Amino acid sequence: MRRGLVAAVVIAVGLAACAGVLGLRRERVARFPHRAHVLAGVGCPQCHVGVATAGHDTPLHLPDDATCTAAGCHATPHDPHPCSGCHSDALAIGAVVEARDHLRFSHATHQVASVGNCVRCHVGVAQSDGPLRPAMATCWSCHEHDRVRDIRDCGACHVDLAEEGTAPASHLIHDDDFATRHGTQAAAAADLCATCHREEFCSRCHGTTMPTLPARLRPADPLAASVHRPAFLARHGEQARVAPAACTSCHAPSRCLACHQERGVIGGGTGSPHPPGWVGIGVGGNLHGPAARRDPVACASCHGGAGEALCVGCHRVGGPGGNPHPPGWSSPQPLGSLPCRLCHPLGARP
Amino acid sequence: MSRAPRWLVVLTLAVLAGPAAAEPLRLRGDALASAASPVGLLVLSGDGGLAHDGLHTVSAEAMVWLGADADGVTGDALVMALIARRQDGRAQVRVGRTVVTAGALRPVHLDGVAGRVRLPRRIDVELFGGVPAVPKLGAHAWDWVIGGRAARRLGDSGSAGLALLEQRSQGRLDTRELGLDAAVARGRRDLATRLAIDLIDPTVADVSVVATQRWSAIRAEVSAQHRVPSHLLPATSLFTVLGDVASDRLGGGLRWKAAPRLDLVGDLGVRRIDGATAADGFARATLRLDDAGRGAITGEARRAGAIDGGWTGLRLAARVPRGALTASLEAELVIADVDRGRGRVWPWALAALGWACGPWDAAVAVEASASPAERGRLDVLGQLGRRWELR
Repeated sequence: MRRGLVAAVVIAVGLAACAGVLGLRRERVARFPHRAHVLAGVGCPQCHVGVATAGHDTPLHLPDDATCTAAGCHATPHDPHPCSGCHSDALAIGAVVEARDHLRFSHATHQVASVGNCVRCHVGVAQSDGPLRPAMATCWSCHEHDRVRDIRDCGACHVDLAEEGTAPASHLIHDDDFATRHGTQAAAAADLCATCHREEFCSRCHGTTMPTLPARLRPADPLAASVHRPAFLARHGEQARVAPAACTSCHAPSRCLACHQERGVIGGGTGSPHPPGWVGIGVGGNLHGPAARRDPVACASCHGGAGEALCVGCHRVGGPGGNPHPPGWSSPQPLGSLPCRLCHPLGARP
Repeated sequence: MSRAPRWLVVLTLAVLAGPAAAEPLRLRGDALASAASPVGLLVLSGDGGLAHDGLHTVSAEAMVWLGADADGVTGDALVMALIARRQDGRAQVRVGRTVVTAGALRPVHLDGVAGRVRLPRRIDVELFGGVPAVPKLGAHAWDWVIGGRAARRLGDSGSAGLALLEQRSQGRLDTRELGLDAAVARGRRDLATRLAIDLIDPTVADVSVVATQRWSAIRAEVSAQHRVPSHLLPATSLFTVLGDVASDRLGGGLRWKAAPRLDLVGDLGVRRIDGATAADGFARATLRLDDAGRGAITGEARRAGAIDGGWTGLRLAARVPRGALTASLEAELVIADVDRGRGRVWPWALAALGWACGPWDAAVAVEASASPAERGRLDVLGQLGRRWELR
């Protein structure tokens, strides 16, 4: 009985701890009691002094201690510390500051349209004390948006979306794996991507001249989304082997050789990165043939261009390497053009 | 005059010529130093409006890096472009070094011009042309690329398009590719697909399809891919004669927001190459330590199968903020199936301490690793960054 009771207590404490850790039990966040003020009949402009005439670049109209005491409502505060220390949500204030920096919005203009009814946009004020910044859908309930959406003109309302970095609320949700498959989705809507992402964002990966992985520039942020984490360098050879030609979707095949030459890691100091039995007729399986057929891009990344002479040394007409073409192979290329003429001197056929 | 100073002169003139700043000019500088090579790296990026007359806007964007190692100082530009656009978004042109993406065609990093016009009936036309960017401000004679895309927008964020690209390398035909792309988003369902056809030796070179369905806490995704490596190579490459061995992958993934602070992600796929199959997949759990997600811990297990030996990996990462400081740890362990004479077990770890205050941020990190190239490596990294906003 006693053992069962102890077990029950341990499980209960464990579940409570898990609920806190997993976010199931919400932390008590100090929020301003908007609802209580509404129910007490306090009008919004009474505390948010000057909001009715506030333009898009005027200072924020958040009340301070003087506002709370001036109207006689809280003439004798119960605590000498600033009211906002306990009666406001720092995240909500942060959202307001962000909105001021990144939205073109004038309360003065909207006061006319809403006939002074703040609740028309701040719909939650009478129901709860949660954040009151209206959702974008609320804006769209009045503002025609088809045209600006069509021409991707987010700048009509948003000031510098790329800097704001706010993820869209309802569509185009990017999680940390989006980078690996974004090409397919971005193919049809690159201009949509450009409404939030600047060119430099794309070029960090697609502009293949950067001498370091982009993620290495932010060593203290191991959870930032990126195609290649800093550890990628250590295993990129294995990774390339798994998905033939995947690297080529961003990098030119010659990039591998250029980087390996720069870092002096060609052959890993052993003279060759290939295992024993890689090349040789009748020796160790002659592994390079099937491997090259499966992933010719991997071969071209080191042996492309002038390096092709290495292959042609054996795989030429009459050479010991034999015919590298698969059965039934044909090409529309004339024999005199590259790459045919490397093995087939003009007119020569096997 | 080399290409870099010429670009700098153009940009400088544009900045000086701007009668009024439409948007603030944003600049960012990052310095990265490491005990091992490259010794130092300085990345400078900036963008902002240069001029506007109410109907048109001219802005500029640049990102350049300078590096120093034992061999000397080097540098390059990733982006250096002037962008002119009509205020109503009907037309836009970019001049300079830029990344061009045109539908199903692979992105091209080029020095040139790219423009887009929006026509009536929701039709877009994009055209681009120039010289493919060569690392370290290099140049090849008679390299050029030209292409374009015509598309019709569908619904909120989708479109269907047709693109064409031709690339020449030292005057020789390198790539001639046709691309078809389509994407639609209807409510909680997305579908995107792209198809690239090699026109020199007409074959489907690359196809991919991604379909997504979202519920309140779950997102499911199915993807299929068909890729023919020999057709992704330049047509002048000797390796194109080895035949069309396709790599096909079919996979599916699931993301579940299991609790307000806990995300579970899983993905499983099967790849088929040359008649043989291999499976790959991963599972990941991410636990946020606060509601805003500033602190988090993530653990991941991954299996990447390949016909001639894949690898298995484990990853752990944590970020714990305390005021202006952030402590972080990232560790990976990769175990290769096959020992190719370079070892099989490659651990890697990076521990960092970051600091952010106003426009400044800095970090110091220690990195330790073993890899196929190096039996053991220890490095110390230092990063310092600053943002400026000039109005």
